[in-house]
Amino acid sequence: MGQCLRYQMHWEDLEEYQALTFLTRNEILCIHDSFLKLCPPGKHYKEATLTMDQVSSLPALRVNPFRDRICRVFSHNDVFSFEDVLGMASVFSEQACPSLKIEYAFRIYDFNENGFIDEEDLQRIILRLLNSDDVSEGLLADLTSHVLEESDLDNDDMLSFSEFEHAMAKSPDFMNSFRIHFWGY
Amino acid sequence: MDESWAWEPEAWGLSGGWPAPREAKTAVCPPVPGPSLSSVLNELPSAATLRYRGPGVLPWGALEEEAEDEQRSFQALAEAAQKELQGPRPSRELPWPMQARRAHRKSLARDQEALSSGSRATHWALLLRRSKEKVREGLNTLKPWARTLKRIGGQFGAGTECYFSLLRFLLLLNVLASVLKACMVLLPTWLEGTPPGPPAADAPSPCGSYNPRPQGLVTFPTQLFSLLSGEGFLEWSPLFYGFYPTGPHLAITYLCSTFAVGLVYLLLILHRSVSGLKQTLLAESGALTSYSHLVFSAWDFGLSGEVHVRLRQRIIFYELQVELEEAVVRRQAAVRTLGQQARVWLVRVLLNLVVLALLGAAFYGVYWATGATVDLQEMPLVQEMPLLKLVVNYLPSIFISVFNFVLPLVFNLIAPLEGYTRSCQIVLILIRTVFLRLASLLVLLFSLWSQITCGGDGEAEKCKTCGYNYKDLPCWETRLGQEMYKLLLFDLLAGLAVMLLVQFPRKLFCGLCPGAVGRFARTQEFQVPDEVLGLIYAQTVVWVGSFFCPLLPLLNTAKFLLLFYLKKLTLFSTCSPASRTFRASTVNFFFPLVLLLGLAISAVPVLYSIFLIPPSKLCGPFRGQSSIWARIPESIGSLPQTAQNFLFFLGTQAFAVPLLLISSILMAYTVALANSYGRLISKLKRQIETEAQNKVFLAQRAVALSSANGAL
Repeated sequence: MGQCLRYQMHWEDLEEYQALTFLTRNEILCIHDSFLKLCPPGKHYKEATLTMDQVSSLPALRVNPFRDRICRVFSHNDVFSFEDVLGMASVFSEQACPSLKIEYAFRIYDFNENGFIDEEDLQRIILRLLNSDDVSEGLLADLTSHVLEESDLDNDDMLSFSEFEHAMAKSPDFMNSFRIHFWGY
Repeated sequence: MDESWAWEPEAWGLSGGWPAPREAKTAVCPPVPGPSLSSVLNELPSAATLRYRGPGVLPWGALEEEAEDEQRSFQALAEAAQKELQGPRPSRELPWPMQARRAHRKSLARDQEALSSGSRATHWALLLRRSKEKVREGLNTLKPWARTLKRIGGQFGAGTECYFSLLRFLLLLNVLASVLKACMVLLPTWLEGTPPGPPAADAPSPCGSYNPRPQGLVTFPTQLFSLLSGEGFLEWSPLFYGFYPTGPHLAITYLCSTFAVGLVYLLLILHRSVSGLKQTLLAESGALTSYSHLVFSAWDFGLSGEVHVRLRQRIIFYELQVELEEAVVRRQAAVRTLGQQARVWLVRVLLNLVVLALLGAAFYGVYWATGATVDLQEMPLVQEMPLLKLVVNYLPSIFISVFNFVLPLVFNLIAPLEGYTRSCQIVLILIRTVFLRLASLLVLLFSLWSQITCGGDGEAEKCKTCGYNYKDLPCWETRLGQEMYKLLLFDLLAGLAVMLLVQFPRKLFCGLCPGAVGRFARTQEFQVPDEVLGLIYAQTVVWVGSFFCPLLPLLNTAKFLLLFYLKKLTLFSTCSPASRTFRASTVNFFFPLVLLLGLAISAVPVLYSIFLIPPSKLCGPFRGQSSIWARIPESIGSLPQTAQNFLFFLGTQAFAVPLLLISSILMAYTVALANSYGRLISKLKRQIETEAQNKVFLAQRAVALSSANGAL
């Protein structure tokens, strides 16, 4: 676990965080340790904030193609407080319940933030996944139409949250792939 | 809703921004006064509760000016939605920021205090749930190598992580089995005093003589040979069945330990496979939603490290292409003419015949090798050279290992010719490999059986006096134990040899080879299905052998421990991430089933030996009895009368037939229930579609009406 500085977090706060998130005691303490390393010195951890750049350069997020969306969804007013970081780690932890993960996955994948995953969002997702410039138009259009054909139940060319939830609830790999370990090894 | 948030790639300091989307499809605003269709749709309750981010926070996607009244209406809607839910959700499950969850928890606690002053049942239920969570958390911290597994999963994917997790689980099984065996077999033996030595050579017995102890001065090569083949000084040792004396209690505990260990295995494997089965059985036919799964679950968020990320992107591209190709293949298959269909089926039948011929040849080879071992050992040339003797002794193991290595490669070559989709091919290859491995073990056991019982012929000359072939195999249980011991050792040695002589040199020397050939030879991947099947095969061997060789689970524990660290070293030093992701769901569903199949298959020889083959007259705790099981009815006779009657009743048909009937009824009921749930799901899906059409229709009418009003 590394040298986690325990003395700065009160026991009651730790208990409360354990009850409010899906993280274990050790995970909370290690995230607290990493947070203290990154935030400016002299500030109490409850008032310090991290910028989105700092959070997206964490080793766990550095290579993730969706890191800007993750930072956008979990931050408030474009900064991360300690509780925001804990909330993010809780959603991505192993013990989190499926409904929470599906809810946040929908928000992350909704690039234009209109409450639906439409064709534009799907194209952006696929381009981010492949991260190359020479993806043919045909492949993109094919894939988008296949996805909408399978999961769009009301034929409005968009995926609402309930349609997304229905599709992901049947995916046995979703829970396994939507996991991030935030503490360093 | 028409605002698009500015997205600046430069702010992230990327060396090359992400590609921009090709066509930005914006909502078309009709040039009429009044609300547009999209704004009407956005005010629906289902959209509102999604965008609600908790009390005191701006709703997601809203502008500053609209925040005030939108927030109030959203809050009311959210509270109403909360009240409709059955029971309060735990605070940590709510998708709100931490402040909101804290407030929610406080209000929940207040409500709980008001309620629970009277009801003790809810209080106990809450305590029970909390203690269950604490126990589960405690058990999770006990599991060793948790960080190693997470690191492996991050670098090599979920399939490889599942292999190591299965290895850890099998290690636990073996530890439990060795502890049980030590308590129920070794402890009673030690408590009954020093066991007697092997039967004297001149003692008269109708079933021949048995002299396992080596004569005279023993040279070092002979000692080494004994260690590797289980003969010599190891033959009369606690390692094998023959050593254990006939004590009154030892016989019963020996037999009961086998059944207890088998029950423990069954329960733990079922417990492990239930979660995997649950997920896969819930899914409707997987082919229908594969694209959504590919796009939304393709990226393993736990990945870290630049190299692996780039590789993963190539994999995803490859998978998407494969998926599209499969769709083309399926479409082609649907429009095949009769002539083409006939040709495809002819090719498939031919290839299946080829596969069957290969399997038959492999099985005959194993059968011949087991028979030839006995004959070859008689030759004087073999007797003199210990190395040749070792090779002859290991002949069955060598044949099995060679076939297990070569034939799956042939299956891999044959499968693409059959015209199935890629996922079908993988399943076919797996089924054939599983059949090869388990059946070759069965063939080995069958050939041993025919040696022991003279081919099942009780009247044959060699087997008439004692019921088994006492001339060649004076202590047949020890011989069986020795065969399984040799299989275990050879498996470990072969794995070590492959690692040292194939994998490491390939990485080292082909690193110096230039060009594409070098790169091809250098990239090795961790073949998850082959490795997992190898694990299951090794465990099945131990299951068969643990009755005849009580210390085999202990040896297997040491072997698996060594294997874990060796495989981890090989993985991190020589392997690159797999080019074809083996889905974690397949590993969690298919391989526990094969493990159960291995357990069932291993039970057959053990139960057959217990019930039907007479035990050796000269060795073991059951010497002198008609069958191994015979001791149990005798000891039941010493129990009180009511217990005897109860146990005899359990064996009669009056108990077994109603039990069978009730089990069949329960199974039929469960299947019918599952079918009705499936039908209900399709009905609800159709209902959602019609409701959505209703919603769009009504929204369009609302827009038309309000624009008509506005125009007036």
